[in-house]
Amino acid sequence: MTELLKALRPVRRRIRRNRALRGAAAGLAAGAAAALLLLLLARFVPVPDKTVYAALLLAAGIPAGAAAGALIPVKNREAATAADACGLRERTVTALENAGGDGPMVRAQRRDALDALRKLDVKQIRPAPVRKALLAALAACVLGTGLLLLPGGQDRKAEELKTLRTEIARAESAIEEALKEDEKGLSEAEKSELRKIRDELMQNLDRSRDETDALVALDKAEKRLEQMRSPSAGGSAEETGAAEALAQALQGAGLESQAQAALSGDENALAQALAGMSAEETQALAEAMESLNGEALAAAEAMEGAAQSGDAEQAAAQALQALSASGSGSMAASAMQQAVQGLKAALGGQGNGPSGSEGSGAGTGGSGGQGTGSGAGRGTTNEDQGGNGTSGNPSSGPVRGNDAPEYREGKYETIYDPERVDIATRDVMTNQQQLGNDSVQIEAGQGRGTLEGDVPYTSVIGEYASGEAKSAESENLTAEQREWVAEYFRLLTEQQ
Amino acid sequence: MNTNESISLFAEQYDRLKKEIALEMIGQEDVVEHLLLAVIAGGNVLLEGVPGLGKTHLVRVLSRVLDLPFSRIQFTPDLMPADITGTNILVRTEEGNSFRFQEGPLFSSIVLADEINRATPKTQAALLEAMQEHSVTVAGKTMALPEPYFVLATQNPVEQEGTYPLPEAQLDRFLFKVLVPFPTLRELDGIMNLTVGTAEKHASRVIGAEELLRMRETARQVPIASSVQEYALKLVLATHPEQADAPEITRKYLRFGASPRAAQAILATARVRALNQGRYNAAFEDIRYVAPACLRHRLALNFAAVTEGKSIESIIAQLMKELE
Repeated sequence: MTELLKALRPVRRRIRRNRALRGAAAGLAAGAAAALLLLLLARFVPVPDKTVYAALLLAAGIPAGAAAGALIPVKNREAATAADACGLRERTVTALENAGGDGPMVRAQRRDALDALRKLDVKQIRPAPVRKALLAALAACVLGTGLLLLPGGQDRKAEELKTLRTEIARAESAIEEALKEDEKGLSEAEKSELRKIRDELMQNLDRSRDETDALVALDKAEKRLEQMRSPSAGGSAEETGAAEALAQALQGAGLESQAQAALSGDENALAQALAGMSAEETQALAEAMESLNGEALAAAEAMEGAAQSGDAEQAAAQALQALSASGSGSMAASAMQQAVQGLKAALGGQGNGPSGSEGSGAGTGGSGGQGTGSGAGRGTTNEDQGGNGTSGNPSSGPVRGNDAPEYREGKYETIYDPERVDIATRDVMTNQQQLGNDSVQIEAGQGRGTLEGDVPYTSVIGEYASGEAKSAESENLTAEQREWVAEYFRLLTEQQ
Repeated sequence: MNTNESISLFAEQYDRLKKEIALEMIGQEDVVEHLLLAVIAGGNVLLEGVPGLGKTHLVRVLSRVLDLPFSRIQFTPDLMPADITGTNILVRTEEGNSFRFQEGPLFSSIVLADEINRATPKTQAALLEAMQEHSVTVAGKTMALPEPYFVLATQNPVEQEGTYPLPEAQLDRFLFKVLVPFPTLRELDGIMNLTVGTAEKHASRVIGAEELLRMRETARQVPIASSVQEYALKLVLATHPEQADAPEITRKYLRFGASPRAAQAILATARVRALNQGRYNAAFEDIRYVAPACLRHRLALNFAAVTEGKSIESIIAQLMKELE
């Protein structure tokens, strides 16, 4: 038995090789078929990088098929049958079946089979024909090439989708980076909230099918960030309040220069002011501290310590740090918000499709009331950021305009309502047939509307809301469901 | 002589038998081959061919090279069973008159039933026991026939007037039905030289009964792979139109299929052929070689096949092809 199995080894190897070849051909055919399907699918659904994916499928089929073919174990009987097919006339299979048998005839047969097997040229074992698989692969490749060469209706959309995904990926990493940098000074609750917003945003962006979806997700995230910033803005006010409280206390103590330096936020000026403090002034600072609390107190303590130790620079830095500590939460949220806005701006720039969200805004703004400027910005929501104004005062540099947000209409905020714009053809009832059970079968003619029938969302939302509320009343809905419908439209209307 | 020697001697003896027969039998190699396969396997053979092709002569030569007792029965419509089996006759002895069984021509190792289809079914039926059980029962007494024993029958496929076609039961007892074809020009030339010319060649004894039985025993030991055996069995099953998975050609053209004896015949003769081909195992090609001779007399064509001119041979060939 062992001898026979040993003699079968070359046959096994040969079979495995042949299977790998056949598997490669089958894999090529399968890969080509898969690539063809992908290209066909890309005619109906936008598939970014379809050529790359099709090529990958085609190329992956060969090694996958070859590996599958080579890895399938070759059974002894298969090897024996393959050897017999090369003119051994069932010698090997018979010997294998009678391997445990004894008797002169069985022994003679085994010897005969072994002799024949050892003389066998395994090259005679040829792979199964792969002609059909290769022809199928060729046909699929030709069809696929044809599909690639013929322009498809979804090609442009696929390109847009690709750009969108690139932008989303870039923005996602920017947001990640911003968060990593800025969340160091945040409380755990703030970190948790920011991460939650980030995770939700990432999830929504990943689910985005087009720019509109992405922009909606970004809007949502931006609003949440705005909400998060509001309490932080309280913190900012608190920060400002702390600085003012400190300044007032310092002014009350007669420390004018220190008060000005604390208000200006200039570390050098504050250090200079602190360095020159006399013992009386230090005493006055200690008295002024009694009226302070929170960050202002921390800053004042740092200043007092500095006045006593003489390390004015360090004290100034610590004081300013204490004053700005309460604003760190808003800084992180702001950084993330900036990243979100950047992404929105990038997406808005791509918006030339039917679901695009191109908007433009123009505004004039003054920089601290000292200059006027004009600018243009891209808006994706109905609240434009206003214009970025360039200050007329060269020393102030460009600052953000403070015009009131101007309402803009993004394309994605339009509603497809051809009936409303009255450019549609009307229903034509071509046939009506009375059936049993009070049912009527109607064959309708040409449908309503055209693709041009978009109307602004805001102009119809109120009407829709009241219509749906009435519908909800007339439908067989529970009170809770009716309330849910009404609440939904109330919230939508409130947002306008 | 042990089995190893028998194995090594088998092919040699077989070759010598063929060569010796060829001295007196010009051409007809395939017929001789089939005849030897059947004789070694221990079966009866039905030789079918037009008159004058040397069927009877072949059997005579065979009996000579095998050195076996030979008897020839010319079947005629008035031949009675007792004429072939033997009968009790009254004999006078010293003790007085008594009945003694007078053996008929069946009591021989090789029985040539010449033109078997000319005898009545009653006489034909008398052969059944001899062919199958190698025994004869007369007046309630069963007597064994000598071993080896085989019946070689001939029949003329053309002249059917005054003949009695063999019943299926009888046909089934023939291991092979061998068709004797008309000789080619070269073979005919050889026959002329041998028979009406000056050339004189006589086949002589090659082996005896003992060696023949040993060859038969040796052949029985030849192993057959399960796949090969399965092929033979599937082939037999495929001839049955009533089988659910019967091939289309069977359902369309066959009235009934082969019996298990056909499968026995195929496997037994395939073993013999394997040995004479120098192999120690039966192969698919052995099955394919012996199957037509084993099946052709066991299958019956239906009316559709007859009207469409289908032959049994073409149907068997088609079935073998479908099973490959």
